[in-house]
Amino acid sequence: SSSPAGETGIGLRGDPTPRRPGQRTEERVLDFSDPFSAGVKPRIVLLALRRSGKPSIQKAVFHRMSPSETLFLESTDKICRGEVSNGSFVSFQIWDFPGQIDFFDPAFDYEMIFRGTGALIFVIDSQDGYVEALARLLLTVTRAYKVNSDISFEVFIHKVDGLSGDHKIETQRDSHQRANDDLADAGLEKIHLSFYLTSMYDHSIFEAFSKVVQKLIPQLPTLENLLNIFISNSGIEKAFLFDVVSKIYIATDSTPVDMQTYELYVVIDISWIYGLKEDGAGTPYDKESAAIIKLNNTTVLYLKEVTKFLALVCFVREEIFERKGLIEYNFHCFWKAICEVFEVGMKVVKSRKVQNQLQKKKGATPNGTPRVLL
Amino acid sequence: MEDSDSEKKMEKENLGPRMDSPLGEPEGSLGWVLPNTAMKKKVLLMGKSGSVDVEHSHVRFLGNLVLNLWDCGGQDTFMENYFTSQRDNIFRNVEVLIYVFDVESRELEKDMHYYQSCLEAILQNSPDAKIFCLVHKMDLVQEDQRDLIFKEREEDLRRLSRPLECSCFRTSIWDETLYKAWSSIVYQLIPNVQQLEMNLRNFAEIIEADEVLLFERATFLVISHYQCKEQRDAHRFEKISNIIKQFKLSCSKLAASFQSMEVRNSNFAAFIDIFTSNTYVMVVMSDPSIPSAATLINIRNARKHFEKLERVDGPKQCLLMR
Repeated sequence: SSSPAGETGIGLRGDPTPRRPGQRTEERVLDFSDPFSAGVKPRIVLLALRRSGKPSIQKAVFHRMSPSETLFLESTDKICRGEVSNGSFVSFQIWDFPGQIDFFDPAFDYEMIFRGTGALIFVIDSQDGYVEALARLLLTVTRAYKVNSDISFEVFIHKVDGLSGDHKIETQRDSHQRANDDLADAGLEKIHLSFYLTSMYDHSIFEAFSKVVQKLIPQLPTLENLLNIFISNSGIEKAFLFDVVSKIYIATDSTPVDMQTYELYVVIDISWIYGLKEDGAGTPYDKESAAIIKLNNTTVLYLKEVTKFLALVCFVREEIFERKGLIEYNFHCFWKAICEVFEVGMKVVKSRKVQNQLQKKKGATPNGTPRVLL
Repeated sequence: MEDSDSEKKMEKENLGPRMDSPLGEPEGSLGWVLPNTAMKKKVLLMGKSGSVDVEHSHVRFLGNLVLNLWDCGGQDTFMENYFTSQRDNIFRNVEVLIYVFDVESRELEKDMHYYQSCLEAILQNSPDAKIFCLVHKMDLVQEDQRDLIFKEREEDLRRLSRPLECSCFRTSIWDETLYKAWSSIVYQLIPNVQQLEMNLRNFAEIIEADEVLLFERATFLVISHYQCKEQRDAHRFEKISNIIKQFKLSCSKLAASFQSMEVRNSNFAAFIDIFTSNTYVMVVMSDPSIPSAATLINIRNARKHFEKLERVDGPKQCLLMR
């Protein structure tokens, strides 16, 4: 069992600088109301029906994050909203609400949120029975689709650790069938739903999140390609690009993933204790962040910072790792390429923003010529 | 570690309760012992041990010490019967007795009575055992009362323990006191620990480290440290222990275990590696101009030196020192 010191907050996370009220960070400038920010950061909304008063999905994903990384927004007395955006490559908004409540409460501007959303994840608790949840799902999906037909709809059938193997498959098949039938009845066959079986007790929940996030990254094929080139030229067995905050990998090479994820928290946790400057300045994860972990099965785990959100994690055989210089050189090439890829993305977004602003301005230009869209 | 000749002569015996004991599984008792442990010394954890975090229960630490847990929060009649019939077995070959008292207990008399029975058995069977008392759940006592209450208990326990000597700790799971108590206990069990510390200090200064920590290898308790520089986080020892234990656990789920680790950012580099047969070392450097290869070589060379220390001053020395 883990030390209770961790539960009271004294434990693993150190003392992250609390967010000051009204503090805006670079990321918060790009909030959900900005439709173009979706091009920069994958945005995900999680909807979870809460049973027995305890938000579970939030815990699953975010229980290891520090207060400065997660923000629990003001909630109504029933609905609980949380957001992860600061320091993360992926932007999550989590809505956790009791079964009875009317989801479409006028207190929240759903339309604005759906417009800026890339993926909507609906979380169903498999242990509660899913028929009622599917009805809510249909309602939600219909409304969201009307606002934004580009949203990808994902359904997590959660807490499947309590089910047997056959039961799991049956549950997934049955709920998928029912949902599709309901959509067909409503004349909405064109809406596509993806179903995932998830559990907090293995890595299936993170695997599912990875798949969802990967759908939202337009640069994914390029990233995968770069990873393939990098590993084949360096003798590396497997490489992932991880979002450091959410611990979800956004890209990997083409070799099969066998769900072996080592706890990478160790790197960040140790960095919290020793990695800040004397006055407490700096962040635990910075440009020079790196780790080499030697395992007794002759595998070496190699972590290197790529961007302030992303880390490259590789698995290398011990004897190959002796050629560390080669790997580091190749990593440098890889890193430059990744930066270019994301720069292109930023440029596209910026130019779109400029266009949008121009569009909004009414009237002619100072010299009388009409405004022209680029 | 080698056992002395006298220990080798001891016959193999049935030590401690087995899970299929004829008396059945007593409520709250966690008795477990390895077979063929006649040569092994025991650490007994008794009293209200149910409330103490004991993941260490499956672990052999310091090479040959086996932890036996007895939670006496349960049935009285069982305890009486069992103690009488198995008493000598339980209390033979004990290196350390750790007795846990619940500070809020309503049955102080009974607690003390059991404690004294245990001490009698110790006196008869393992008179050289070290005795530690934990006055636990101190968080339930009002803050301004804690010192007073602890001092009272400590005096009582010291008095009741005579002619044996006991060391008392006040502990709570909600702060670092329990961790510190465990660390202190393990510290006292390490053969020749003072010399180890002196050498650690020299080592740290020579390699220009900010801090050097020494962990007991199985439990990852920090048993010794030397810091050349003021550190920000006073609770870091327990945190580091937990961080590494968590990591070890996650590795073991994947049928692997970690051997060594290097973690860095622009402000520091930390190196964790196997050190001696009983220990792991963690070296923290904040000078970025020192290449990691240099530190790794230094650790490797120091290892040889510390291994020699451990071998030369083995258990024989420890027995003589008593």
